[in-house]
Amino acid sequence: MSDIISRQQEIQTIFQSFQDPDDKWKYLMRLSKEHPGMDESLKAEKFIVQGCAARMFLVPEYKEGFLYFHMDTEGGAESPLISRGLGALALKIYNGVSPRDILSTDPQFFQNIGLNVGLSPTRANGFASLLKQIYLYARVFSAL
Amino acid sequence: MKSALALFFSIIKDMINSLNSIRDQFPVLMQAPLNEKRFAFLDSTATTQKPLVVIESMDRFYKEHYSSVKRGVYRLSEKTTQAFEKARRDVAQFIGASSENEIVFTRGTTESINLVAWSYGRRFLKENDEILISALEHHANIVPWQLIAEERHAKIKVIPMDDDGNLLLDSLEDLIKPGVTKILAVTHVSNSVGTVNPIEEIIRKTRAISPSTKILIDAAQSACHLNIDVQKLDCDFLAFSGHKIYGPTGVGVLYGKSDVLESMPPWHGGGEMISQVTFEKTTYAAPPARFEAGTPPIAEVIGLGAAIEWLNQVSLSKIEAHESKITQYALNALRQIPEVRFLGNPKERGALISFTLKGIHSHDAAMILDEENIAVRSGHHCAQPVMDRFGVSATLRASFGVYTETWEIDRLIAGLSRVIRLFS
Repeated sequence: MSDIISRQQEIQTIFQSFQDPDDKWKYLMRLSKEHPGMDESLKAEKFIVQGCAARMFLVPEYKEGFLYFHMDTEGGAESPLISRGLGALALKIYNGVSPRDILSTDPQFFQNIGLNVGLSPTRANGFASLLKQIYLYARVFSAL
Repeated sequence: MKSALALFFSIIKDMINSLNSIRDQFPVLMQAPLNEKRFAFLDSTATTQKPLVVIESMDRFYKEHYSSVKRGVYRLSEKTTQAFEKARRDVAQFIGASSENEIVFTRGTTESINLVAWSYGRRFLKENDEILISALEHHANIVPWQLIAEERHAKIKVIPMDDDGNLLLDSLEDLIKPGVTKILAVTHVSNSVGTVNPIEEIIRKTRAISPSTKILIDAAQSACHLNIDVQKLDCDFLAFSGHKIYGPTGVGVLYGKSDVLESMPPWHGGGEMISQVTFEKTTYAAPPARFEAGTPPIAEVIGLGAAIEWLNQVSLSKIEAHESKITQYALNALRQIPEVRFLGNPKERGALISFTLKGIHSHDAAMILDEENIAVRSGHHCAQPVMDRFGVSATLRASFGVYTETWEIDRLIAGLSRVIRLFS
């Protein structure tokens, strides 16, 4: 079983344990608060995820066959906690695995666990843009 | 005191609900509830839902007399051409144009403004000429002017606004320069703050200072809310979209005064816009055909005509009165929530309210409202300079149409309470 599948199963178990619809939002807000953020010097224009309502940075790092991501949002006190939490959730699945493992994973997973996040990019949907960028980096690094 | 307030709200609800049967005409609004929550559609500023008569008019065209316009002598094409040109007459009458030849069909407001920028602007703008827009504009009434200004080495000037979102009209005397300000392009109703600009006063002042300045009104957010008479207004151009006035997407209108349209060169080349074509030289058709190259969006134009007929039957005055009450109802309800911060407080407001929640990102709030089956818009609303002016990156926007009912506002308020509880 690949790392990604076992991580997905773990997250699915967490989501299945939620009793109240608000629990998933609280979980994402907690992930957002726990997420370490990113060194300010890495927040370059070229790492902005295009199409996000709030400015989000995603920086890839390729080490010994594995792909690592640094993600953060901008916005100070009123930064989008849920959007950032979704980003942190995506990283829980995709961080530190091989690009090929990412490419063989269906992003539909996020909807299957009951998150009503669109997977087609729209102006307002930062999450779809973030996933698209993760898969794009995976494609690029899988060719190395 | 409490019972007097309750009575006031009950009277307002009754008045608003008198238009209830209208909602039944919109199939999308009749969809099944999601988790027992009825669909509350509060995004009419982005696009309005379509009444059945509009959908059926397009369906009938495709099923009964689908054919192209103006090119066939056969009966189907003749019937389609008649329906197409009737829509043009209906549009002309709807906005008080003196002739249907002043109505150009485009893809929408954005294309209408681009048409003026690239046709009128390219021919008449010279180096150091100025284009005056306002601080309340949608990107569609900023970017086309920037593009043509860059090409013609012209300059963009901006009418400022105050902290409430009202344009500072005293600045017009300094900003408008006879012989230099070639174009004034201003929105009738702001899509981000909701301000209804006093366009009669703006046009009057502009004409008094510089009679030759050409004036374009962006009516995207006003055409289905307010009565417009282009002759009384005395504007040179007026632009609006079909999909924001209960009609289809993919069709819009550019009104232009006959003599102004006549002075403009074609923008796109192709079929239908010509008088005579040889390999050496082409002469062009008179407006509006000059600006309608290629096969037009026939079904959409027919749908737009149906929407206008429908609007006339319902009556814009009735719609305006309904939306005004709904907007007031929503404002009163939102004012009871301490976390709500309104974007501006315009003297006159259209059927929309932009606001933020203290300490909560608009996008986060919109995601939770979506789970409540409430559709509101979050973001910068294609008006980033407006967001910058108010020091925010995004807002929530609730906007209303003829079909909006008070229970939708009540649902919004309950949804916002959930959002606030969750983030507290």
